[in-house]
Amino acid sequence: MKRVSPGQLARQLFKALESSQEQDLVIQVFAEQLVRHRLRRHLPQILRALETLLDEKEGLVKAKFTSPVEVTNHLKKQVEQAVSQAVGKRVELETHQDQDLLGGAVLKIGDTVYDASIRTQLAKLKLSVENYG
Amino acid sequence: MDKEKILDSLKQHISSFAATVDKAEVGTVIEVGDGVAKLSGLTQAVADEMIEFANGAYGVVLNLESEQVGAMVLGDFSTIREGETVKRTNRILSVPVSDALIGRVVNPLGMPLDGKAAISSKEFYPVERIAPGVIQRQKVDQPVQTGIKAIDAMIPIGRGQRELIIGDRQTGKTAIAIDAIINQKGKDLICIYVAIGQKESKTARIVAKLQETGAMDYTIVVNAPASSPASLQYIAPYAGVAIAEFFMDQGKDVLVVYDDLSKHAWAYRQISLILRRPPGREAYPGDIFYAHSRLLERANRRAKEFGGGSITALPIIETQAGDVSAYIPTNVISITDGQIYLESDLFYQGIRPALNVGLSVSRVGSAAQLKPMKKVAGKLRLDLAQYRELAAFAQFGSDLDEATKKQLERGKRTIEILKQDQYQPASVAHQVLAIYAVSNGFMDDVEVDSVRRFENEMTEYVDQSARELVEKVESGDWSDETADKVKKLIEDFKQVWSK
Repeated sequence: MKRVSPGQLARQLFKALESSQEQDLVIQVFAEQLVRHRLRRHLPQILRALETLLDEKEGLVKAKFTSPVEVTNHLKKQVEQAVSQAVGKRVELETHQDQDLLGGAVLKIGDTVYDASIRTQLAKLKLSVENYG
Repeated sequence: MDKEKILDSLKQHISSFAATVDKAEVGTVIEVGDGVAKLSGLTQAVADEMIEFANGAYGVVLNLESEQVGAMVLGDFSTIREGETVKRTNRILSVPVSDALIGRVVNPLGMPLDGKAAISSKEFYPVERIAPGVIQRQKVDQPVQTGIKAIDAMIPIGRGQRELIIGDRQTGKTAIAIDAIINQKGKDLICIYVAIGQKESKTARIVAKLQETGAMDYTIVVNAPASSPASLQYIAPYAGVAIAEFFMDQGKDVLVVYDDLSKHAWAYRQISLILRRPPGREAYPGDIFYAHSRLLERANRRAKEFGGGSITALPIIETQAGDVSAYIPTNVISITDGQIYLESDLFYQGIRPALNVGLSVSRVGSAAQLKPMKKVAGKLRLDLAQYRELAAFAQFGSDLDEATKKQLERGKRTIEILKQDQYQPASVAHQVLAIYAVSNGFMDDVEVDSVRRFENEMTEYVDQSARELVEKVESGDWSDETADKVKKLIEDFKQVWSK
């Protein structure tokens, strides 16, 4: 049998749930099939894929904001607004503090990372000096 | 340049450095192990693109699947963890190239391995590149002198040719390649020695020898030792030819030695199997032929209108117990323009280089041979073939007629002349003289044991007494007049020598 990927399983389940009235039954059958075909270990990946599909359907974008200082609620709101304006979708913002960045900030929207941290800038400067001349 | 100036220019460089936001697409590591990583995300990644792992190691995208990306890790994969982010670099796998590479030992990514300064280069060449087509090529018409009599006379190699060196372990395959590199001194040919899966001790010995003979002045060593990850061993020959292309693009001639492609095939097999690509014959992946053909097709003699230059390839294949019909040997034999076949039997008989003259061929090199060599070598091949036939036949009978005996004796001396010590490349003129002398019977009355002494002393004699004639032969002149002079010279020497 050809290997079925977690993403394919998640898509099929998502489709079935959307079109069916009896969602509990669908989930029960899906779980039984997972066990029968020994695909249980893929469950975390399937859940992750489902989450992505759901976000997509609801027009939600996940973003992560990392800065070396504590992110205040006010700042979080501002960032959320700015991102949501830029991508034109609803934004679910997660914030994170990381002092290793030294300064600046890193913003991750979906699969894209915008890195304006001092750490990265310094690394780039180091590289440019190394290759200088 | 004084200190102040350097500081000033550095200050200027730093102050002109502009801070920009770094935008990158990222993915996540799903699975990592044995030098291969599976990644999710990276939906825009392209084949052969370099990616950067969180620990700073680079990877190369090999498999593009519907939901995941398979990549090989170039470097340390032991500190990559599941769930870490991976960054796209938007750069196809490439090596830094510059003239500063000459004389250096580098890894397949262009990082120095010889403990010397970093190599600064502004240009990058893609590791994978489509080979030039028919229009850009020109026929092979210039020789690569290996300095080995048996090869230059009977299996000549031309610039832009691909000549396979094949044989069992310990038959002197590498020795031939290294001799060929050593002999390029002053011949306007840049040499690249690519060591794939070799012991570091062997490569160190080779580098030391090249330095000792002054060959490092025009040689680059690309080293992916046995201890390096399979991914580096796999890209090593492509990196080597990419560097060669950089020099060819300057109109220069380049010689690349791949030592050896058997180990390259092993490395690629390992990566392919871990990536779960289906195994084929001998468990090699289906595209192993393509892996070698696309590499060797990049060797070429480029037409003048397209910039000229050439890349000559000397791939090496190690056979198991002389089996040339195994998978990889047959593949590479069919790709190349001929092969130099080495045999352990000959090696142990003391015939070194242990060349099997009957099975070795060069399909294009003869067009590039110098005229004097062409003239004297034609007879050589025939003599040897007849000798082998007679020698097999003569084992049965003791009563041989005078002509047969004579031919056998001549053959013995011819074989003796083709023996040559390692690291002792001979110039064309010396080769021509030696071969001319033996095939025209000047050595018939020399004891077989003394043939090599005769040759050495003759070489010395002609260098001292007829420098002009040697240079004439070297430049490709073989008019009747020159031939007569050569004959006279050898006769003169015999007078001196006999005494």
